[in-house]
Amino acid sequence: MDTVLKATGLGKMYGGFAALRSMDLTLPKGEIIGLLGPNGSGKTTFLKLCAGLLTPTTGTLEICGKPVGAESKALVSYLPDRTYLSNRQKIREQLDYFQDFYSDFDRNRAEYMLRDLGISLECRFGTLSKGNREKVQLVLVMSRRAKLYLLDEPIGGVDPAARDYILRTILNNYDPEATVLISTHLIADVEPVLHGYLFLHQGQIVGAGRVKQVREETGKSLDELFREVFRCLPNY
Amino acid sequence: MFAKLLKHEWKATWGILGMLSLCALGAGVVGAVMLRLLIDAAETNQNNPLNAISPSVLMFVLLGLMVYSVGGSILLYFRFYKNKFTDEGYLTFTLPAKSWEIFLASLVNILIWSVIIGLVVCVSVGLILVLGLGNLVKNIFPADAWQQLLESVDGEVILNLAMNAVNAVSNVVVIMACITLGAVAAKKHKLLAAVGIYYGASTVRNTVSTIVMASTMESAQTFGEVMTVSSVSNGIIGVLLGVGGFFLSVYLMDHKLNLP
Repeated sequence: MDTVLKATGLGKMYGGFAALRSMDLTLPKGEIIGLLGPNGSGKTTFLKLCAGLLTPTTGTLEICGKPVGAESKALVSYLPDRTYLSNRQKIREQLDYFQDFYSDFDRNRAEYMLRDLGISLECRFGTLSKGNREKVQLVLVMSRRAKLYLLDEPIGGVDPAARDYILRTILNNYDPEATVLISTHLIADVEPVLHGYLFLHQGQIVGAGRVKQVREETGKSLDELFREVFRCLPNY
Repeated sequence: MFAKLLKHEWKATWGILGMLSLCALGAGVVGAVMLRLLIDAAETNQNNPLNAISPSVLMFVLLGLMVYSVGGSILLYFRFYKNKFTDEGYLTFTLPAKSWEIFLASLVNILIWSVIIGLVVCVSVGLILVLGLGNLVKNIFPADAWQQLLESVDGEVILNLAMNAVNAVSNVVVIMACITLGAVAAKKHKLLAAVGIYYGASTVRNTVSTIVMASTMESAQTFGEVMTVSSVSNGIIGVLLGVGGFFLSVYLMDHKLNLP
């Protein structure tokens, strides 16, 4: 199956506010795609729907042909935009946790990356610096052999050196059979690793395409295109 | 998947609760020694410097056991809230597990620990009584006390015990359901909302029980009959609330999850 994600008429309402509006989207396998948009454009809502943390108000969503649920969660590796691991646990315990629940978790790879970072498995997660906590979470998420990686603001709030490490980790662990969806508004930083992009505005896709094509056809960077597109949009 | 969830629930709680349980057992031994000193002082009229503090220490031990039993339960419910409805919920609800498995694993863990906490309190109090009272315990509890107790057990007692057990389990489910509802419904002060919802649910439950008991008293022949009907009706209400609470929680986790 070449389609990793298929959304049809996908919508999400929070009370009277439409966070996502009738989104139709198909993502093929083997791509790194940037989900780009300003704050409040629906990026996190879309990723939460894909991860099974939210239920759509309208439409359907399939991951590798399966409706979102326990089965699809086994195929999706999700990194939220916050610290979601227990501060009290040791890194070793967190590795045990991932190993127990995810059959596709590659423990050796995770331990190798943590050693490379100089993070001891006996450290308690809460004792690490913010940057190292983000790195540990990324290591755990990227050490899975998942079909779809959902990374919500993976480089937000970390220093440039940590950003480089994170992007390098995504590239080095990227499986050509999998798709990576990265949500961010730090476009210039992620641009070098992206194959495709989706521009999201007020819960709707307002632009999509190939990054290489943008460079070749317009001579602009993705960051420049983003600024140009969003400058023309209402309420922006 | 349920077994793995239960294993990790246990792993996350056994450290602190195990340590607290050991402390509670230790407090039982200390309490026994203090009671022994008090009794010895009363019997021999000897002035031991420890006699001055033994009543206070004994009181602190009993207070500590109360804090342990209430605090242990609060820790378990807080763990349920934190693991499901704060940032940690992002991991819990993206595990390849169904919501009912996640809820049930927490429920079973809380029930196991509730039994352990109950047993530890009983053993600690038992230590205080048996070691502290020494030979006096024989006067208070004669040798055939257990036999008399067992002989007094009849169908009615077993029914009441069974209904109490049902209500205890149901109460745990209801508290968990209130936490779930509070976390999903409230935008801020989610735990406060959960306490409010639990208070409301308890008031409704108690009102219904009182109405059932009052209506039984009019038609019942004996007090025992009133108690049995009341016990059974409470059990039925407990089952309904427990089952309702379980399905409500699972529904909310599946469809209305509102992580911060």
